[in-house]
Amino acid sequence: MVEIPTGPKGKLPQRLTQIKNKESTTSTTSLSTPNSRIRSPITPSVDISTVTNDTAQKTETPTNGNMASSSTEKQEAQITSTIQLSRPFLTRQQIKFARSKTIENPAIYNQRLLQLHQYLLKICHSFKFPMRVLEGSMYYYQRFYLHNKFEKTALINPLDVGITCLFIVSKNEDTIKKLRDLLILFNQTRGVTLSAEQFENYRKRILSIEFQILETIGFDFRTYHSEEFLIKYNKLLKVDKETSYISWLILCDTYQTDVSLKYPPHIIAICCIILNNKLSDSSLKLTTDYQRLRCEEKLVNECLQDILTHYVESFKITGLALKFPDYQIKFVHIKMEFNESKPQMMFHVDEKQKQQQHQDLEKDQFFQERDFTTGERRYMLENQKKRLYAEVDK
Amino acid sequence: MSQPSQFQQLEKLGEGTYATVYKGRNRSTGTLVALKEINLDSEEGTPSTAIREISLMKDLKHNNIINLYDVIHTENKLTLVFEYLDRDLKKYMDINGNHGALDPQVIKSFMFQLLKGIQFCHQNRVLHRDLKPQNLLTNNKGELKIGDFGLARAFGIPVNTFSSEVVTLWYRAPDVLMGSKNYSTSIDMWSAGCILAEMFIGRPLFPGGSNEDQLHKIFKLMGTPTERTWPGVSQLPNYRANFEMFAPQDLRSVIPTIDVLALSLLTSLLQMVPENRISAAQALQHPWFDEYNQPQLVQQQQYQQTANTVSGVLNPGNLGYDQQAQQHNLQMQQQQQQQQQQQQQQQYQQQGVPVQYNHQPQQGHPNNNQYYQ
Repeated sequence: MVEIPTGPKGKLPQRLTQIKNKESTTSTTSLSTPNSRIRSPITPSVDISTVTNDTAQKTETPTNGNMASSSTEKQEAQITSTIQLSRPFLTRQQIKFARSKTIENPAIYNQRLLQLHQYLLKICHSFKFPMRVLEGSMYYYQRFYLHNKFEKTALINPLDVGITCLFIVSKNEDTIKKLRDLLILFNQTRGVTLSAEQFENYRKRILSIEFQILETIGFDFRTYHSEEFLIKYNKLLKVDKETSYISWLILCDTYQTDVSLKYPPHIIAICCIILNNKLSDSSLKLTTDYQRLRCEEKLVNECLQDILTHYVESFKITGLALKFPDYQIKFVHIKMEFNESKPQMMFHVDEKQKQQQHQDLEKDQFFQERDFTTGERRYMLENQKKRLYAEVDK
Repeated sequence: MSQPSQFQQLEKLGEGTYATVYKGRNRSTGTLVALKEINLDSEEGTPSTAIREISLMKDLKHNNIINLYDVIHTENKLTLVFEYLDRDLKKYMDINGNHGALDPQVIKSFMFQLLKGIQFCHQNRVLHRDLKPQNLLTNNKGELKIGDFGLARAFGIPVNTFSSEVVTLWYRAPDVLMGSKNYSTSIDMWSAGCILAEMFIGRPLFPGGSNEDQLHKIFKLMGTPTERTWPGVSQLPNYRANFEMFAPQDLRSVIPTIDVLALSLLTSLLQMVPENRISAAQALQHPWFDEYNQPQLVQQQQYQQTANTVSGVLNPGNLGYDQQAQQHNLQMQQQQQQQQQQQQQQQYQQQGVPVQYNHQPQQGHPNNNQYYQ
């Protein structure tokens, strides 16, 4: 519970006073006493990531004037204000933990992810969207399912989430299309026909999903584009345009995976270049000066492993397979060679640490189910913690 | 009845095309904020302007750029919580200016801060695209900050084609007016030039009524461009071979009060050919700003000249002083100046306006230029 001084002459913000007066007559007397400290109706309590009210203190926020008639219980006028900080980077374990809560069947999830990728890819081609729009959409989509349940019984169709992600990204990337046109094309692509009325309802549903996505990602639109780093690094390493084409194809294939969630963009970019180098058998000397490129070698290895696994396991569906169908065997060799070299990986944790981390995660409100229904939800960037604590500690 | 909120809503500050701005107060800290309520579109949902504004401003933390604190979502309302400043530059000019025209020292201080803000945007690969006095906010400390990034966008490689329907007409660069879609940072520099001129004369420099009228007004003062003065101009979509021909005029014909150095900067900003326009970083090094860049040197000069003290900039009410009295009390004045210089230094430090601008980009974020160097 937070207490705030009322200031001179009990100056509580006017609207609050009104609410107080409506709700309880007893509090009015205390309001008039000059030195009284009033329990603030704003009761945020802080956790590392999410600030929510104590469940005991939590009350329904009046949404409109007739709230008194709708509820017979005596309501205390309290502001349910939650503050959500954004966390752009999550560890492998955090991702695993979050998914264990939202995804029951990973196989179906992955299948859906690839299906969505195919549809969105087609749409991006038709509208001539840059590839980073696809990258962003896949990224938001995967972020969404870290915090929202992915189940058969879930009310929202994952494909609808996907197309809404694309809609949001295209707004952000200045490649905006009318939602109507986007949905018409999407329905054509997946062979769905809707009547005018159904379509109208569908459009409205998409708009409500839009908000849920925006809130899930915490209005943090910082998407990191690996392509920018890919171009820079290729230039820096003096890889000619033709050779670098394969690294570009590999990068596009990473959108089918969750590497964008796990690794920073420059790591992904350097992995694509390393693989390109290995595939093209060129005599090109790649001096992987990780220090200079600000790449952590262990992290690069981990990312490489993920990409290689994707190519070995599902080569047929990748974009690279269309252009170079004979590369499958190459990937198998590269992966074997890679495993034999016993590369150092980033995070080695023993059982004890693992349990501790798991317990921490259980407590972390960031990974608990989000409540999008009550009160006022504020979104801050993580680097504004100082301001947050200044406010809450009062 | 609206919901009770962490922020108490006070009076309305303004209304834009996609949002209404209110003054607000944080109930637990008492801090004043600007609450920008976004009008949601029933067809397209959250406006792309809002998304872009959130997306870009969350990353741009600088003394001369308005700070975006929070995004708030309630029931069916989206509100952006911004840092609060007292008034925009337009209002400031109406209240404090002489028929809108400001004192040269105030102009210099504002211009320096504006360029600082623009430089930071450009370093972080953001084009503002809608610079105008209404989007620049000031407070009683004399600080100036850039706001309203609704039309801004990130730029990078490859340079995409941009929409040519940006920037309020009066501050729109001639290349954009003629339909160029390959504009870059130079688009903001033209606007900065228009704003500089406006602060001197107290009214917009090129108040055009339409695209054609806007070009006409620009040509009338700056001269009509030809293939000779601007190679490639005839290739622009809206170029007409029958543009009325004007010879370039001396800018002092419309801004008689401008001093030589300021005129030099203005001329560099208002270059017709976008490639010739000075960059924000270059403009900040312009000799007009020597007193900010080389305070030692200017201090010496100021003893010899009669000049307004910089502390007056921060409190423009102090500016008018009696020149005769000054002559009589030269020695007194020198002492005063010394004091004021010290005061100024202190003031700058207190107000977080660094005397030496050594801005370090934020660490640890890939959008920062350290990764691109």
